[in-house]
Amino acid sequence: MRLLNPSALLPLLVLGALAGVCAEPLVPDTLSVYDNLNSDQFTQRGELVLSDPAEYSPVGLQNPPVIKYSTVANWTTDNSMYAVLLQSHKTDAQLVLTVPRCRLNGDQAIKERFVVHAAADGGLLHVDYTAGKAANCKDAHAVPETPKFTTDVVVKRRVQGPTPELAQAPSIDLTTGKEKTPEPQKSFLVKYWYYIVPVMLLLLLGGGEEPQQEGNARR
Amino acid sequence: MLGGVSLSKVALSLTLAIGSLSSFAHGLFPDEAGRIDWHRAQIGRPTKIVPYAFNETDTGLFAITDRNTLASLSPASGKIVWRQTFGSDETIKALRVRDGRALTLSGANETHVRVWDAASGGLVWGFSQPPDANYRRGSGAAEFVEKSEDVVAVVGDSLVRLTPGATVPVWEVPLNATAAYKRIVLEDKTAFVVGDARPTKKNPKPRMQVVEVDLESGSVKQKYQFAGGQAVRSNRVVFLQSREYGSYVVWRDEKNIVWFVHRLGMSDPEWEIYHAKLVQVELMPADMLTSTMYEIDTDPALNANHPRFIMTYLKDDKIKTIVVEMYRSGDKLEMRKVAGFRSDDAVVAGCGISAPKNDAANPNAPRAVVSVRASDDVSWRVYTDSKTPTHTGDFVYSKDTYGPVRSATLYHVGGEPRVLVQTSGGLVAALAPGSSEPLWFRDESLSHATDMAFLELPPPVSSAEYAAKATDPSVLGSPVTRYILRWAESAKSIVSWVTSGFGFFANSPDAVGASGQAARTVAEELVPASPIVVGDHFGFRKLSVFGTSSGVVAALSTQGGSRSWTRFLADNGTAVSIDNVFVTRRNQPMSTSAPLVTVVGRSRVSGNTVVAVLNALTGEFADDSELTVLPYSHAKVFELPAVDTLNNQQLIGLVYRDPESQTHLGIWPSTASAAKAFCAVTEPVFFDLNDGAGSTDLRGFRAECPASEAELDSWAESSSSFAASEQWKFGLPEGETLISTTGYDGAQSTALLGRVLGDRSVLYKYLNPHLVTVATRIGDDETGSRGIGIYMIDRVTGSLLYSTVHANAHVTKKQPFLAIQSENRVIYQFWQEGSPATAEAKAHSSAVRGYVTVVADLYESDKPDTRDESRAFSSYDLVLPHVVTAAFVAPEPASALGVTRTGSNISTRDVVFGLASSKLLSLPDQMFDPRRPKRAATKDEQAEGLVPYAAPLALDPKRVLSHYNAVAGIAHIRAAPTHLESTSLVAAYGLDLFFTRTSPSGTFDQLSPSFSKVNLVVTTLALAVGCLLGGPMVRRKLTNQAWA
Repeated sequence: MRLLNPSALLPLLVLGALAGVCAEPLVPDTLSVYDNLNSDQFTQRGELVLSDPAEYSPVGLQNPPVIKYSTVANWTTDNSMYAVLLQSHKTDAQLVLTVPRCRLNGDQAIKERFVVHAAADGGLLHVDYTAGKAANCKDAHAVPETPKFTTDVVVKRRVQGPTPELAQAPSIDLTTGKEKTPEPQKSFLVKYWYYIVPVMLLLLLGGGEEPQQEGNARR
Repeated sequence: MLGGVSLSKVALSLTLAIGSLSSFAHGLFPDEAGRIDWHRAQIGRPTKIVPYAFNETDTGLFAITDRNTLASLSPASGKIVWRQTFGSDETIKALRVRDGRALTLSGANETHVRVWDAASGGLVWGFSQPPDANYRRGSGAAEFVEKSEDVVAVVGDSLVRLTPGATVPVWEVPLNATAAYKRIVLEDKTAFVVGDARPTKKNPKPRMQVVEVDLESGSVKQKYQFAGGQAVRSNRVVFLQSREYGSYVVWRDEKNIVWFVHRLGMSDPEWEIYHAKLVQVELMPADMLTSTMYEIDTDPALNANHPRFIMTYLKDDKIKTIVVEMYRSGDKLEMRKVAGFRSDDAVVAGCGISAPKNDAANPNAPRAVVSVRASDDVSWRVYTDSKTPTHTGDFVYSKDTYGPVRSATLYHVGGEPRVLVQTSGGLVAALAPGSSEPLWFRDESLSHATDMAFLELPPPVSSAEYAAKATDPSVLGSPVTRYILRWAESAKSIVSWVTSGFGFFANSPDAVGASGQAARTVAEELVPASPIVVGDHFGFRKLSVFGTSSGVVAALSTQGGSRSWTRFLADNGTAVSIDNVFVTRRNQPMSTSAPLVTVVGRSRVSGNTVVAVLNALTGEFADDSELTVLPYSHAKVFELPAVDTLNNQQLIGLVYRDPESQTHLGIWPSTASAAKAFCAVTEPVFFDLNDGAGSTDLRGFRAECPASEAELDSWAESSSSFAASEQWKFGLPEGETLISTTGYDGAQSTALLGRVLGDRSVLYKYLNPHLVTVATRIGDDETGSRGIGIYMIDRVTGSLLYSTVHANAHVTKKQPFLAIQSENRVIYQFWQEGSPATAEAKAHSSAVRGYVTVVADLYESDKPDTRDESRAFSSYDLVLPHVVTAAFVAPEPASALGVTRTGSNISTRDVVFGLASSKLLSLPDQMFDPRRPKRAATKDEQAEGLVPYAAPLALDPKRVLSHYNAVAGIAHIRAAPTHLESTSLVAAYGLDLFFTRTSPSGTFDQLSPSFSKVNLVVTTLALAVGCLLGGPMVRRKLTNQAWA
């Protein structure tokens, strides 16, 4: 579940759609990661650094910052969902991502994953999130209080779509109207022998007289 | 015993031999074209029909329609002689027929004037005016210049005179956006162009604007305005043209009992005429205010010197009709009533005038007016100059099937009058004097088809069971009884086959009709006496139930196209616009409940959602229900994964927003049992919603059921919809706007979970039922950047699964974006420019200019034999697909995309293109494989069946499903499985209808036509004879051996 328009997250989410296939580096930013695991408010538990490569790092603060539900725009409290809030350091824009809370049931080591979609120019396009397993929803155990999150961050780039790859067009001889047959590749010597041979001859034939002149001069 | 072989064995052998002779299977072969497929050419609902006499014996009917088609119809049969279909945005605004030429003016801002050969339909010459920034919406008119081949027309924001063969106008008068000019009136040396003046702050009231132009030089003589409060097209305004007196406009103000007459080109005098002078009876003012006028023909050749019009008014609550003729003596203008019809002949539906032949040289040629009275039946009268009708007739039909009559046209064939009546539902029927049955009819309702659904019909063997069920349903409880009944039915078939001379003297398929029913008469075809309720063994014959924007729901057999039933749905007398058709209860052999179709549309009166539940076999309202108008207007409709157990009816979800912009999900049927059935579904229902093309975001919702059973009970009593909570919002990047979203068309089934590669490893398909493909427009023409963005998202979570961009691609009405999803494949097509608009785009764009078809195959992983660990699919697992893509050059522009469907999806799926060139092209799945190698194929790739990549998709004529048929205006392609795994039914509709069946993987489960049944019988008989002869010999030998 996603409650905010990701385009509101960063002003760097610009139109990068028409940019080329040579993907630019991810525009750097850091997103504070909050969640509502154990309280009715969002508590910071880590940071998501947007760089190449993007990575998540937990913050071990004694009194981590919190964000009250009431201050999050368009957020409707739904206790059946585990929510992660991302907040940009650059713009303070927020994005809430959710998964069913039951996916975390009874799991001390929870695998979570952020998928950061980037435009070809490196601008942020979209962020997706998942955590836990669907099988845990059949588990009667509650969500552990201090689970260990194993975080994976994947960056996906928006690439140029495929285009038809046409075969090379045949060359037509305008005089005959028939397709030209490609000329066989000639070696350098075969191509330019008429330049090389005279030069060689000149060098060979003309080169013998110089020592004689030298000898005469000495004399 | 007979020679040691029992009689039962002989009988069994013979039965097998004879049984093998019966028709076993069907296949599609060239000689069957036109027999197993069928095509219905349509033109749309005529907006104008012009009868035209080529000579004293030959008459033609020329029609322009609301589906932008110009057609010539045979007056004798109604069949299309020729037709020309214009572009989807090219509304035909004017039609004139003269001297063997038909003149049309079409388009809006970009206007086209064309002159056609009336006999052949060939284009004689044409002129196109490029778009004009000053164009006023609604402008457009054209007229032939008398005694000349020239044409005067309002094109764009100009009045032009055009001459054949010239590429530029003879003269052009800019109209400077002063009005929406809709009418041209020509006199000998003058052209008057009349329009609705542009309202200004100073003069906001509507009024008419006239520009008087010299016909020879094109110089403007004068411009002026008149008739405040009036519009050119109104039932209180008529234009009259007279050779002797000139041209006039007659009108009545909305709250005025006086009629005004204005001579075009003169600002003074303006005449006033009172009702009493016209009708020569005293009227109450309230009755006078009801009077309306109809132009009955504006052709000067018909109106001659004394132009006529028809006026209707109320007298003692009865509609009266008179024909009025205009005379002028000096400055005095006089209107004379030449005919007044009895009250019971009142014109309700329409009127018209025609001469037996167009004879401009004979202004006194007999003329006639047709009066049509439409109550339950149509009764019509033809008058000439007296109060006594010269010809009368009736037409018996039901308004519940084709809607009320909305207009009528008179024409003559061999001097005999014929009346064409048109109904709101799209029926055009030709009537002759003295007969209540139509001579012919055209049903154009399906040219407005918006949706269709296939209904499976029970096989014919069960007809005996149905007969038994009618008398004693309990006998069907036993499977043995049902088995015996089937045998009895088969035995009857064999007997009838033998008595018909072993099939040699049976009716030919053509005589019987592809539907398996005897050919119907015109009247039977108009109102089928009995609906089609029985299918065939192979599932080829189904009912295709169409919903149309003209309010008609119709069921046709997929074999032959015979109409089973028709229902016209109207809200307060106005046709509803139908958006969706769902089969909500299917045929169940042992059930007494009739199958149902639920039709969802929109009322044209209130704009609210309307729902009707019909018996799918008869078209009657189910269970005495009626059309229901809901208190909201839906934004989306879809089938819900729940069945109301009380009446075994599939639930329909109707998404709407309340005035506070809160989203709700209404359900149909809106009953307590349906609500409980909906909330009993274990998986919550998710849906996506957007504001249509141009919107900048997409949202996902989840329907919320009441928390407890008690709340649900109380909910069912008080409400009919569920709240929907927003789950996600997918905002498009800045500069992008939505083009369309594409999901799966109905439930998908998959035979193979993976793709077996040449080395026997498996590439597993990514099969996500919640996959939605979103297409966006990037940039615009103003900024010079163009492109199309593609997003594949998950409907449940809003997760972005894949995104890509196509630079320098763009979408217009003429170059639409098309997409389809099937299994793990997404196919889309768009137009790509060859020369990129921006340097940035130029650097990354291919040089291909044309229609590009892109295929994206989604797999669970790029590594073979690797798949998602979880057994059950969950959108929250966020499994990103590995996407393999390839692009191809489309052979022709397409207007619709579809894929074939078979019962178990074991057969491959052909991709079906509805081409703009009116062809239905089926291309094999293999061609669209994005894994086709772009070099010489390796052994593994060859083993996998991959053919080397080639960008152009070849238009193989052998793969054109429509054969020689020109299937015009294909907008939708639907497919349905049959009982044969090899075969899929394919329906294409838009303007025309076309049905066929195709076997993408070949007819592997059918006998080929070359299979010799005679050889089989002879072999079987020879074996039987061998047994008869050899049996005793063997036994004797064994006996001898035993004694030896």
